[in-house]
Amino acid sequence: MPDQRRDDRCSAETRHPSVVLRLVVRNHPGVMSHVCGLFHRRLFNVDGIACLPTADASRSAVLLLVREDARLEQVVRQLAKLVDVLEIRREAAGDDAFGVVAVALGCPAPGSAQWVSFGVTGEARHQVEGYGDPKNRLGTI
Amino acid sequence: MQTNGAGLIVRLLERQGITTIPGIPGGASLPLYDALHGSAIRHVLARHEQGAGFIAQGMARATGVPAVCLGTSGPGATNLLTAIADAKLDSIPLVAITGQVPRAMMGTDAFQEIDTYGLTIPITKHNYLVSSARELLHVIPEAFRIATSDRPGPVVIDVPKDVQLEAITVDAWPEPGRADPATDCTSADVLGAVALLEDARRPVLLIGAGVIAAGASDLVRRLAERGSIPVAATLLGLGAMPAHHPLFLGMVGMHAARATNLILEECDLLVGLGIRFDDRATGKAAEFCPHARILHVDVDASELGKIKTPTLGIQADVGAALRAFMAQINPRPRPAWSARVAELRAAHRLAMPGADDTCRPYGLVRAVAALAGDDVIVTSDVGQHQMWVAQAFPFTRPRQWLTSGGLGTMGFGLPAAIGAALACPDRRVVCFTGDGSLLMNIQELATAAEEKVRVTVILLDNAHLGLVRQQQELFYGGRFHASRFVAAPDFAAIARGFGVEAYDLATASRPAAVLAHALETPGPCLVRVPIAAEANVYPMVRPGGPNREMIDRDAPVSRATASDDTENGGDDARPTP
Ligand SMILES: Cc1ncc(C[n+]2csc(CCOP(=O)(O)OP(=O)(O)O)c2C)c(N)n1
Repeated sequence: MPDQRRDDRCSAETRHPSVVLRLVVRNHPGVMSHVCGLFHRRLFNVDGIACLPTADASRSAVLLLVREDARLEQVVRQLAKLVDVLEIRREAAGDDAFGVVAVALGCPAPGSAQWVSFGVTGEARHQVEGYGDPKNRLGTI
Repeated sequence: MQTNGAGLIVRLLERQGITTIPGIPGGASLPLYDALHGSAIRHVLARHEQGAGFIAQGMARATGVPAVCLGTSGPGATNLLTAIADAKLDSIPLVAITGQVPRAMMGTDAFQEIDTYGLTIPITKHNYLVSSARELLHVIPEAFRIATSDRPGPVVIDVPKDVQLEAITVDAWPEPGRADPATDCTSADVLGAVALLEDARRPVLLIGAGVIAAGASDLVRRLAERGSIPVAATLLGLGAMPAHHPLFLGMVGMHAARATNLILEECDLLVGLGIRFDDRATGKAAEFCPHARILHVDVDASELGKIKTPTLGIQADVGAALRAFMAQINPRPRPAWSARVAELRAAHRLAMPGADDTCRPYGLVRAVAALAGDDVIVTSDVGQHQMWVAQAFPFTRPRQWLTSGGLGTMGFGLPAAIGAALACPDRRVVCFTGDGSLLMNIQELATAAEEKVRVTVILLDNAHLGLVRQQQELFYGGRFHASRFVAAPDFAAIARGFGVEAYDLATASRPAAVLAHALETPGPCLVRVPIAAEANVYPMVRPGGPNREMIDRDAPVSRATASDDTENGGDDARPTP
């Protein structure tokens, strides 16, 4: 869900490596509004989303393609507060997890030469010190 | 038991211990009202759903116990939104139950259909759209658990009318929802915190709403006394430390005593307890406590490092953390720091002009405080009057001071006072309000009259949106616009029209005697006090500016430069001297 409003502020210099978060969420119609709304409200960027029910249909698994930058920790902590989010971990396959999705959609694969990640991350908050400072990290996710 | 969804909700609320529910009925909530008809729960009929939401907030803020409010679908739900958002920003346990159109009609733009679930996602801790009566058996207790656990907050439960009417047989009742056990801190955290405290030569505690939510006020005082550590509070932390305590520095930030901000400027350890480094408290965050290491304790992990990078961030219940610290901290005088603090306080006290005059802001606040005594509960609206009260009222206990901090909602004061009075019938409740704010929920005077609550409204009437006027004077070159009320309502007459006793100090020969009487009337009462439009709140930190740069009453600034955004504090425009 790239944020078009901030297109103009993105440049090659602001590229960061991508990381894929895998969430397990309660499966109900409103849950994606909770997850997507969080990114929108907190001015976090998410480059890709995929979501399917798990074998246990009361749960869904969500893949989020986000940027590995200083604010990732804050993203994860905010996600962890959502009552419907039951589990968050970093997808071992990295952004390859989105390779198949990219082919299906006819879009550049994350990390490929044509791949452009959207938006900026910390800049809009530069006056707020410590946003996602590495020192605040809670350890590995 | 044979019942329907609505009966189930009411039974579950009774089992939660809910005894009073403010609300306004409508088509989509009528089954619920039918069920309330046979219940011991007292329904308080508000005159606007925002009023109902704030009445519930007043109950919750005064007691710490989650409160419930009701609205119907569509406009009932949209009218509740402000009160729900307010509860989110101030972490107040509120459960709002809304009627929704029947499921068969949802998505058809039916009469009074609105996407309450979608609208409330960003302003709740959690929300539900209930799709069967049986679901209520876990939704209602879970809503209360979520509203009260860790960092409290509002929960919305949207219940379609057909779910309210759905028949259901209940064999076993769920346990009422209660707060999860408090989060403890690790022993490594305790060691780290104790090391920081022992190491500090110039520590300060900064306490916020989290201390009150955790019931940790006494622990704060004991830690402060044991370590000879001065204590400052955010707007919402006032009351957690008695105002008259020698270690208490008062409120920090935009309208703090200059001494308080300067002491924070000099501290070498800031211990943030249940605070979130709001910009009204920190001023320019990057320059807040520039020489300090930061020990930040909060139950919400996402607050640690959100604004300020802590040297040590501890995710834990503030009470649990303080108990653990206390077990390892030795009494320690800090004579040099205490002397420096005393010196700064003596040199930069809060000036309170007119403190002896009942018809001037500080004098009025002081007079009410003296007459009302320590038992009183105080609510405020939003504006200059709110800051005068925050600066000058000697709060002595937690939950004595109820104000809209995060959202800063005009219209909060009166309904919150009604709620506090309903929840604490043996206490007098005083609502300090402004003429702008009072008009935003003035219809609740009818509720106050009906419920005969012991609420005394003290109206500081400056015929202006005073705080807006002040910002226009200081930061917009004195170009006043849309901050003056030309029509001046007769508030005393209006109050009497609602059946509320009222007095006007403008025409009183003995204002103090009138005040004294107004604070003793058994039912609701309003006192209008004329206040000079030019009276400003000082000192003041320019929005977005660092806390050390405070504008004073007697040090006029140039009125030339407008800051580009006075609301978000992100600007760098500076009034040129
Ligand atoms: C609902 C709402 N609208 C607008 C504002 C912006 N605002 C902040 S203070 C203020 C003026 C308040 O006037 P009044 O209640 O008369 O209090 P005073 O400042 O005069 O004491 C306004 C308009 C607000 N805080 N809340």
